[in-house]
Amino acid sequence: MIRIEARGRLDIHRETVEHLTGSPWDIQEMLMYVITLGGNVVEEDDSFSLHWNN
Amino acid sequence: MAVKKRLNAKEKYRCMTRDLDWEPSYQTHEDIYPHERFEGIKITDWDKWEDPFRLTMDTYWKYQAEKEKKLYAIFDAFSQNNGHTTLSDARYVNALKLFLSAVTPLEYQAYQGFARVGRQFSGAGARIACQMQAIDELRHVQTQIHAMSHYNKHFNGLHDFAHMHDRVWFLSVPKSFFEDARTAGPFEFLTAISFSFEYVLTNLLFVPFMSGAAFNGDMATVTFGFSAQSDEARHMTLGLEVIKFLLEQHEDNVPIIQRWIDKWFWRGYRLLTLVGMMMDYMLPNKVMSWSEAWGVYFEEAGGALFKDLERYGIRPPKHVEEANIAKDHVSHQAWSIFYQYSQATNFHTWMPTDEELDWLSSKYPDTFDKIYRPRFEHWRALQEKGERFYNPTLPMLCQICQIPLSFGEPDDQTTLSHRSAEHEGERYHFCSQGCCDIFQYEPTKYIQAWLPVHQILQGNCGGADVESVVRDYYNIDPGQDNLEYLGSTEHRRWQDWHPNDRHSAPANPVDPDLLKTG
Repeated sequence: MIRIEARGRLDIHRETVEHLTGSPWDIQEMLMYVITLGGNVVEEDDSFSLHWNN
Repeated sequence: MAVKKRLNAKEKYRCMTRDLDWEPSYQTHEDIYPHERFEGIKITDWDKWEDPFRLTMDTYWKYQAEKEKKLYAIFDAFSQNNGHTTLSDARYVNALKLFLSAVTPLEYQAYQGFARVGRQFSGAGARIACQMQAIDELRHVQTQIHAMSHYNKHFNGLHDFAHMHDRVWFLSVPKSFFEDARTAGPFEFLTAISFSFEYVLTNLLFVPFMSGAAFNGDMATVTFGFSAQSDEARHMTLGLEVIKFLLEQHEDNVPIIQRWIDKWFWRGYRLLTLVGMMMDYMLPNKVMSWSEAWGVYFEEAGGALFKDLERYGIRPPKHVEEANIAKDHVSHQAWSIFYQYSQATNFHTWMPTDEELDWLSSKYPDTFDKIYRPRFEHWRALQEKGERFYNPTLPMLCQICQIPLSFGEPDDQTTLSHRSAEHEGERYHFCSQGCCDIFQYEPTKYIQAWLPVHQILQGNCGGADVESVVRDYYNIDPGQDNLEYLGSTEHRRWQDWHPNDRHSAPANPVDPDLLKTG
């Protein structure tokens, strides 16, 4: 299990992941293995973001 | 020649979901969606509902199928390799008996609840999210049963979980919790379950059971847990989305939602007593203490969430301070209940070993040695004399949470917390101010509660004595499923499997003939 934390907001970009892994990646694939989230979700074609409003 | 444009995720989702909805032309809105107004919630514009995960059905099936393939392969590997023999200790399986009879039927209730509200909302986005969640919850029922089915072949107490959930005294605690939510209106249901249970409190159910499984060698349950949690992430976002949507739709919704947040925080917190007890007493390899779990997953994580909701005029739930204080007490109070009523449970109980008592002392430096260790040492001394204690009376249950009255006052945990209120000439009893408040807001609902102890005393549970009720009404196998762990069939079988393991030998050998009910 890996926990990722960020100040203010957390952005995941499809391009970045594909660049690091060398393999095509669909943002929605995350749905298979994410366990828990904290924050407001914004899911786009090429990115996934979490943020709080405070 | 027209070029087909590939739709992006947002557009595809809209085409496959919202745009398939229509305005009714020959039936009224009110007739099609009759439950949307009676709670006083005002929706001005359903189009403001944001779908956090734009999951179309084809994507849903693809990913769920992938998860199922992987999960069942692990179940099979666990089974073929006799994974149950490499657990930390057979005592651990009693946590699974609690889980299967208490939690799995709640997943089924969740499926029923979300299927219902998935029909009752006039907003298409909300309907779709609820319908998918209903299917997820049904999946959780099935995968939990499959995970446990292997244990059912080798351990007791797992054989009739659905029947027991509907009848056994302590299982009315989870059962009544969910029935309260399902018999409420659709907006209260979402606030209770999607927001309060599946978002605010979810980690306090997930981390104890799944980490407990991981720490104790239970690969089947761990794998189920991770597989389900990927569904839960979607549920969490539904919970947060629904609360924001309702609070933004109309300012009149704010006090209604606040009242629901107060009620369901308290009901959820009381339900989690069972989990706290499991964490502190039923895991041979400990994950963390209940007090630590509450501190991290509620006090810290919940703090950030309620700060976010301040902008809507929402404050943290009523009685939250009381819950924070009681984190150092409830697990010990709960284990005391189950230890002494183990003649009527589908799982075994036991006194902690010396090592475990010392662990509890170190995790609860302000409360354990002062209040709880003396009673456990007393019970252990009785057990060593062959007088293992079983309480021969039946306890008073709280009218709301249905837990036996055994919690302490927040500022003095050595004084029993007890409230009562009259309604139409009858007196009703509660474990706390929190439960009393819930009753006083909707007494007509809660005077209808099916309280197991009242029902037994009224003769509605088959037998004239507890042993008959346990055997005939609960379908618990007396002498096999219930009573003390040490000397039980499961304990002796575990020792046969592990003849060289010093931990499987009892610290104080007990003559099985002396294991009698009180």
